[in-house]
Amino acid sequence: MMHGRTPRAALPLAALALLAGTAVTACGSSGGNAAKAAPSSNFNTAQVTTAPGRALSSLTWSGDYRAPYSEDPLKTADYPEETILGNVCQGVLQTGPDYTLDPAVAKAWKQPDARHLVLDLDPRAVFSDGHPVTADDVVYSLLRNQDPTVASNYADAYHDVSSVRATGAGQVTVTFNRDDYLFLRTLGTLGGSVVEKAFAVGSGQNFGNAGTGVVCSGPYTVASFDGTNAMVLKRNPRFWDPAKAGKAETVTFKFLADPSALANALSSGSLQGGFDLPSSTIGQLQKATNGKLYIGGEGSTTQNIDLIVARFTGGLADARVRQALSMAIDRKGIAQTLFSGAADPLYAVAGPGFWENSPARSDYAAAYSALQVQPDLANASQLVKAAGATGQQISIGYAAGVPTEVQLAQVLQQTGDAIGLKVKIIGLPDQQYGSLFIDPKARAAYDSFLTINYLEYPEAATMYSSYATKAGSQNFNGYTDPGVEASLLKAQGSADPRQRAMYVLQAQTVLDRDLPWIPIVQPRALLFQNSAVTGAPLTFSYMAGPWVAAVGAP
Amino acid sequence: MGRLLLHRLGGLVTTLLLSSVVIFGSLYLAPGSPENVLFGNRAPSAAARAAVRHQLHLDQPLPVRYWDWLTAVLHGDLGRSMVTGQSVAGRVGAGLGSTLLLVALSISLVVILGLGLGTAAALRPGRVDATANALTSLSVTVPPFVASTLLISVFAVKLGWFPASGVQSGLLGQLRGLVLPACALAVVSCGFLARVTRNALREQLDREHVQTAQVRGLPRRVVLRDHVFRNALPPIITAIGLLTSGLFASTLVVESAFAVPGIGQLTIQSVAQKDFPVVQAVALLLVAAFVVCNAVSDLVQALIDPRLRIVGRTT
Repeated sequence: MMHGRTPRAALPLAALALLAGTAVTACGSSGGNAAKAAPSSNFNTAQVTTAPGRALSSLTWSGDYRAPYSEDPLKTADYPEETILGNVCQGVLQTGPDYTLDPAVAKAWKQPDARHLVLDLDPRAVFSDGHPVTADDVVYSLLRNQDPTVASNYADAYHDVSSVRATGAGQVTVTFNRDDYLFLRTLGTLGGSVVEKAFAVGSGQNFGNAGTGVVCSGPYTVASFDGTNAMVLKRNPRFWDPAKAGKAETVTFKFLADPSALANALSSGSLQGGFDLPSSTIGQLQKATNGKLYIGGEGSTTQNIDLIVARFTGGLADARVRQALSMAIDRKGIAQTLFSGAADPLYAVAGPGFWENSPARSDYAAAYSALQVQPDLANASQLVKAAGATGQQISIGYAAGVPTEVQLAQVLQQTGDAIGLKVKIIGLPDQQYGSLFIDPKARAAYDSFLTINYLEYPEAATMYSSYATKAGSQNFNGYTDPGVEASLLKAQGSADPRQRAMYVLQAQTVLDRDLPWIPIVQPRALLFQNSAVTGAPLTFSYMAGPWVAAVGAP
Repeated sequence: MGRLLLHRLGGLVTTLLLSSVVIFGSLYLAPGSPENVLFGNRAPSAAARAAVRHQLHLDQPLPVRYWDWLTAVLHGDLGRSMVTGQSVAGRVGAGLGSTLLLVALSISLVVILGLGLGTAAALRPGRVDATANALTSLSVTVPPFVASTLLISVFAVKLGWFPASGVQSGLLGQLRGLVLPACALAVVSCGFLARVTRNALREQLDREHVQTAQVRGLPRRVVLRDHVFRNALPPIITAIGLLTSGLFASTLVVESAFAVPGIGQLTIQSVAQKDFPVVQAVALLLVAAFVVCNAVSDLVQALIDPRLRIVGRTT
């Protein structure tokens, strides 16, 4: 459920053109003077969504940089799938625009103790083929995540689930093998989506293929999908909850890989909106007269861009070298130039995006402000010297197809070289870059690699657990620390957010010193919405909930 | 003529067969594997990976996979996309119409403008020739991705005459959406064809038989038609054939810039995803387009020039 990569299949030419335009300013920023004025957030950050829409005949939206691979909600967790499929396949619960968990297939839920979660299903719920959603369907759907032949992308969230059982008519109980108050959030993502068992079993390996499709209970169904250029959803006529029904009759998602093509499509109205916009589109979209580019404030997404230490041998073996590199990075400069200001420096992997709206905000904020430091090349060089690493080579792998990563790698190279290291950067084709996250052999060749990471919902404990615990799905370097492990397990078992925050912050202190991941920047939410439509969320919640249902005519 | 046709057909089949081996082999050798695309950022269990590999026949040796693919193709089955599970014919077919229309529109522009400009330059030495020369020199330096950006900012964003992105439904909507992409594609080729046309016509104009015809008092129109153009046609037709086949490859860039739902996006994606059957289909389509365009240009030349109709009996 945590996600390591967004390999954008952009054209090499387009990437080159972009690079030529911004690499120079990026270098300038390391000097600390060439920074452009950052666009400030242009809406109140307390606002989580644009005004809800009314009935509309058709809507066209950006489905992000490529078409979904499958309609099966569990198959691939990436922007296109998570943006679209939540509108077709409802979760047991649903994540609202303010990240609250709302009823969906389950009308109520409770955790009588730390090891049990009881879900009461809504008796009204029916699938798009008219069959009622039963406890059996829900049990089947959740357990698919643990089925190795399904190879769910959300399997790691089910690591501590020992059983999922129907415990009555319309009731399902999830049992954990350790205290767990974090799992619940998974039910509001595609990892908690409900599919019709009979249809899924009957379709076998074809389930989710464009020709076969899926049967779910969400507000929309897939009307057509050509596998490459467009996926059309139509309103599910059998949708069972009038309060959450879709406003638009049909929704067409188009997939544009080229950032300038995307900007043209939005500013000319051939697409009516899009999330997760590349920062190179900001200039053009700010000038667009047919709609508004919404730029979120600091912490408006849970996206975090980090340098992942691939192994604790070689150039980055000594913690002092990692600390020196982190100390030297000009995060502010990177945020302002490489991201046109639509990003903020990030000093902890789970930054403000993970706790801005948390009841424990003040605790997190206090700890975070202590981590905010200015780049310090002199002390960093000293630290490298002290570690005896002057002239030491370190390698950084990055996705050559993602313009931002290309530029970021170059800035990191300059930074490393400036403090006495010898940084080698290696641009990898998408496929090879992707295998760094899957194949230990593939990443063995590098000391570190870049990631554009995210979690669908703001929960710092889950983010840290993903890379700093033994069972973490993103623990690529085998990092382990008994204190961190214990704190994060305690956080998982804490129902009270402030108590949980206390444990998370204990772990964060150690992680800031050990730096298995080096945080760099946090992008801001970027949404473009045509004036002819309204209702899109302003938060990162579009990656989890059925957000399209609220979009309609103003 | 029939023999020439047969000869060309044989060449096409051989070329396709050879390129299919090369494409299949190079995809196989490149790092990465399609099942990794399906697993996303999750490291699957060995059993799950093996199951998917088996299902996609990735566990079989290269020659077996190639043979299976080849026999299926000979039976008219292009296979299924490894990533989306859709039929390859369906995925390719969905975008093929737009791409073909784009190439047709573009080559029409190239022929009209290139021939026109080249003829004007050849027949009006002096200022017209110099202007045409300057124009063509400029146009051959504008690659399609630069032309795309320029055309979008002027005709779509500033003037709003054409859509900046995508095509509407219906033939008219499609044509309107394809005008700018076609222009972007045509710019380079126009200059090239104009140059070829000008030089070919000039060469003929200087020929003795043309001058004799003029001296004999034949009308200029007749001289130009029967003595100049007809003899200048072979290099021009060869150029048009080559340009058309080149346009198919250039559509990848332009389709992406204008968000035209053709096969460009499909090609780029399927190569990145190592979706063997789809890559094979689109790549072979491009190869076939190349061979067919050249064959057609040869056939047309044979129609014009009877001397070329006898194949293999060159004197």
